[in-house]
Amino acid sequence: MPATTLKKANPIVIEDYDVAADAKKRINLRNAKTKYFHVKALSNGCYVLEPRVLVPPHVISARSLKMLDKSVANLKKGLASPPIDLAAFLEA
Amino acid sequence: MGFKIRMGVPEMEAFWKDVSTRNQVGELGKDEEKFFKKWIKALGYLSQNPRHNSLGSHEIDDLTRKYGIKIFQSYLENDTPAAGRMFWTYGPDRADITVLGIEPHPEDQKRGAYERVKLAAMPSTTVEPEKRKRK
Repeated sequence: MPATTLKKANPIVIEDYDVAADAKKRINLRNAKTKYFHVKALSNGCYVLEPRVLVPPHVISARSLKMLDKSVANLKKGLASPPIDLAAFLEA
Repeated sequence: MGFKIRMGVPEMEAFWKDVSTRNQVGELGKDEEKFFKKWIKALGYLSQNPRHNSLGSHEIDDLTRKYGIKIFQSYLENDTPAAGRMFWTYGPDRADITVLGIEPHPEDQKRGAYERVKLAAMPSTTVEPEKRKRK
């Protein structure tokens, strides 16, 4: 079989083992490098785990930042919504 | 002095129209209603006094630098950043305040076990697997 070279960016298998789920259908990850994972359950029964890190709560999400970008760009052109009427909501 | 509250366009305006309309017809979900109530209360304070203690308003220097106008952040719940924040600035006219964005983003509000844990993709350098040891 011809030898294949793996690109540096591509992940390689560093551990290969079988596990059995316990009574509560939990499995253990051996030597997990991170504490948090994003889990994707696929229709074929496979699970994909992607490492995640905690983000400080004051960090702005990409979506909110995009929202801010648009709002500021329009505000600089003098565009904003008409004043909102809070009275009806505050009385309720 | 009272301030007129405006919404940034297009997203904030659309979001305001959506939630305020659905609130009036009683179509908001339980969590949305809770969020809307807090938001209205905060907007009320903001229109009366942007420096109201409950808002914890403060300028975000990084955003001010990025956009070239003073951007402020206020909390929707007293001293609880995770409960929600809104970003605003003065303008476009005198005695106007424009709400530019909210956090969490309406589409980011996931429910469930991971709600309290903000997660992000690993920095690319730490994702690379270790080199396989040769026997």
